[in-house]
Amino acid sequence: MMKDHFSHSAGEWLSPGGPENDVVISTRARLARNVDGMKMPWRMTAAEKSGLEAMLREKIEKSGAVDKTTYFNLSKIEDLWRQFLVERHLISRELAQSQGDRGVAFSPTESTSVMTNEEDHLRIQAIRAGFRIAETWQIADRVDDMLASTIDYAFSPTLGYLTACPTNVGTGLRISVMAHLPTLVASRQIDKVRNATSQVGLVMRGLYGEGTKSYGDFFQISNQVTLGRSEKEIVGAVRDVVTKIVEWERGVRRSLLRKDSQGLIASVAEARQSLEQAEHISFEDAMRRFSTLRLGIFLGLAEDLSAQALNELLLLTQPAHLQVAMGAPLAAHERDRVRADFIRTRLKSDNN
Amino acid sequence: MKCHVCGVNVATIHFAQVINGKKSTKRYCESCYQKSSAAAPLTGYELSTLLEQNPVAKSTAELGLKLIAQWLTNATSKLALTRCPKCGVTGEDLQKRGLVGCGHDYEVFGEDLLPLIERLHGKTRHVGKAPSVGHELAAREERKKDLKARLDTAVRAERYEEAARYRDELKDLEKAVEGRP
Repeated sequence: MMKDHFSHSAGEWLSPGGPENDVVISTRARLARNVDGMKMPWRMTAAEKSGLEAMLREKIEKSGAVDKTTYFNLSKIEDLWRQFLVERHLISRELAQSQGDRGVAFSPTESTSVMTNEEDHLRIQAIRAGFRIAETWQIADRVDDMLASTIDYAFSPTLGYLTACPTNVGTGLRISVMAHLPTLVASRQIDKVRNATSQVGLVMRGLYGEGTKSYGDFFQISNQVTLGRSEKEIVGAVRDVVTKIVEWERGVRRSLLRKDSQGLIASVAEARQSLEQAEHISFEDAMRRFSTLRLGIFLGLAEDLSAQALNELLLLTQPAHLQVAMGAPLAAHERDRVRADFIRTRLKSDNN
Repeated sequence: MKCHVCGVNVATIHFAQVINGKKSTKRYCESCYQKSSAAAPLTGYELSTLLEQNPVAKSTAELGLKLIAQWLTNATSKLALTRCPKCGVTGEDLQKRGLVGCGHDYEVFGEDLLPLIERLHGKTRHVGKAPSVGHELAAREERKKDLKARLDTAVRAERYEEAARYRDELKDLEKAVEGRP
């Protein structure tokens, strides 16, 4: 059963113990790789795609690159399960929504995964809780080496690893950090932060919502450039910028606590009350309150609530997760009700 | 709105910038954008802005598509006629998809793709990991060739500080090669 493959709560990368966890939720390293001499997935016929997917699956499983591999061919599972995998950050939205044979291999802790037939033949991903750039890079690097021993990669001595999109050539490495920046948002400094990241060739975007209407105060910071910089340089650049952003956010939190602790306490209490009483709540509304609560927890203003509980809420109240838990697809208003029920129950039990 | 550079064509590309708290928007038509963009690599801020102006483009990859499409509208006239012998992709396919059909396309369409790559990354040469020792050595040789050429140009142009940097990097590369068992 599909459900059996997943731990009852969240993957390892949502565990609250990671370094700088008050601001950094998780770190991810992703490598794009292609098989030499073959067409890119979009250019393949359905039959060619099938053949390649089967071949890559076998190589991944035989190589031992992914610990105790679980593999799913996405064309053989229901759309709801594909959404579930997207929510758990195991596959991209693009892979979920594309056609044909394509899959994902992952470890039990979900911290290592390999997608097949996404935009590139292979997308290796390592994701860990908290701020762990060197570690995620090392894990991805090792998976890459193990696969390289059985697969001939498309590589040019001048352009490096050849990828379907020119934005990924060279190292094919994208490092992303998921950060929670509620006070930088509240103090309207996010644009300044974005500017600072762009000075060093990094990109920042809101994780939920679209464009300027992002909500939840969660942002993804990643390197934009993949060519002409070594993997070590990229790791260093992202690490340096994120370190500064973490200090920046913490600085604003400290000063807010000094200048307006009453206001903070009030908004945390209001967010909590709202979640404890709502009988139906949209994902967006829940996310806004989770963001405030999360800040409250780390500022010591909600001591009876655990960061673990909050991280689980972040994951389990997402649309596909709710429907999987209920064992059936649900309409939006039903999801909003189930979500509210779930949150109320979870908050009560964490309290005891 | 008209392009702020030529004042003639309609502006289709907008960049918002915040410098010292002041927001300004630059508006370009396709051809002035190509000309201006040759001067400096795309900044992460521009990319972020483009991402926000294009909510449909949820990833840098999709954005690459838009950039490539914009870029290749002013590509060499050869582009439309060129076709990759291995995967059959044409210049038009490239424009529509923003993706290459196979690794060989980087050679077939190099004349148009290399400037685009320079625009995206600010560089055109790989530095870093390679899949095998053989690949690594080949990549190293390519970089040494490139550095020697740059060193010569810099010396001839009397840009000695720059030349010294290239010379130092060459020295490091040669040491590294010798150090290999």
